[in-house]
Amino acid sequence: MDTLDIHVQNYPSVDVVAVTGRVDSSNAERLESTLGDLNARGRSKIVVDLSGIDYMSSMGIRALISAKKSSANRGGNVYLANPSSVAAEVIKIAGLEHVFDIHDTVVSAVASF
Amino acid sequence: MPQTQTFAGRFDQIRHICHFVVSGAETAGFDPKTRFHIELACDEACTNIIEHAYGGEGNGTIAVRWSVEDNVFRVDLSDTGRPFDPTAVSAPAPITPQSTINDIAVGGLGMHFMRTLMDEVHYEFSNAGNTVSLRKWIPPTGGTPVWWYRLSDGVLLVRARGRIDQDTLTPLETQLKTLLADPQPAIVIDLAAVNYINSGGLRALVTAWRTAREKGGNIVLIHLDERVREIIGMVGFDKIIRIDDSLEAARRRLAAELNP
Repeated sequence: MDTLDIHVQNYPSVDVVAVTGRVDSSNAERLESTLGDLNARGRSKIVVDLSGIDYMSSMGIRALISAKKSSANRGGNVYLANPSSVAAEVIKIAGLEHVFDIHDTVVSAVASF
Repeated sequence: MPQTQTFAGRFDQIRHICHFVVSGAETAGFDPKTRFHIELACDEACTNIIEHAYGGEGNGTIAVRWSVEDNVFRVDLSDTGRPFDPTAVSAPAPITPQSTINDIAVGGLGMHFMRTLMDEVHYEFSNAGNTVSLRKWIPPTGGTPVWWYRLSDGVLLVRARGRIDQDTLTPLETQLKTLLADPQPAIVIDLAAVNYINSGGLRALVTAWRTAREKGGNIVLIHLDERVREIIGMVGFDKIIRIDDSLEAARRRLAAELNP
């Protein structure tokens, strides 16, 4: 798939953002602004579901880093859930596999807040 | 035969540039995982060109040329923007298991990706503009367990694959012996594709390391998988032989210690 699809599901205290497809420099801004908008509305407990990622460049990682920073500043966090093999590899190349909290499932990520 | 194509300097063109480059990587015989690595490195290089050399989208073109020469796959990306040398961008602060999100910079990952994923990244500026050259060494076909290259700075890069045990020990020892004939052997052993090493293999590495040190050279290891790292740590060899994070880091440190 060559497009990026972002779906936000709001729960009482946590938001789950499912990211599907390709994240690169042509569209990472959409991911960044989706996560930024949640933070701006005071929603800082975020789970990003990466199971549908087909491709992700460092621009996707950048969006996740800045969202995690601003969530942490507001007392929340960004947890990653069920990364596809491509997403997991890109996180590893960036050297961030220990910096991000990575959960096997969305449910366990949500439950750990 | 080198292949050339020119693209508009826009972010939505990068996937097409990558597609063109990946077709070259296929011609060179790289496996799917390496093709993905080359695609990512190319993506990062093009993103840098548009962001930094052109200062935004739609300000010029990116000329892409790939070639397979001897055992090197080479991708040259040329622009007509202002001088921008991605190789001058310093590496991000090293990330440790203790690092937290506050220690991580938001930007600067692109060059880190290029350095990590390619064997060499070169930069040139001429009147015509910038050229970034990405290079990846092509592994031999067939089941060769150990092979090596001499990189442009004279560093000898040894790669191995599979298990290092009684079956592959002799080729490893033979190759290392050839390389240790260098007056001051600077050797990087890339173990990315090695998933097991037995005691004979460890002994061969330490023997070779000792010879290299005696000649004023050095041997360092890179890209150890968790199992190999565990084996090497168990016998304490990680206290003897240096383990670096990337080829780039290994070469930088070798250059500093061998040509002070």
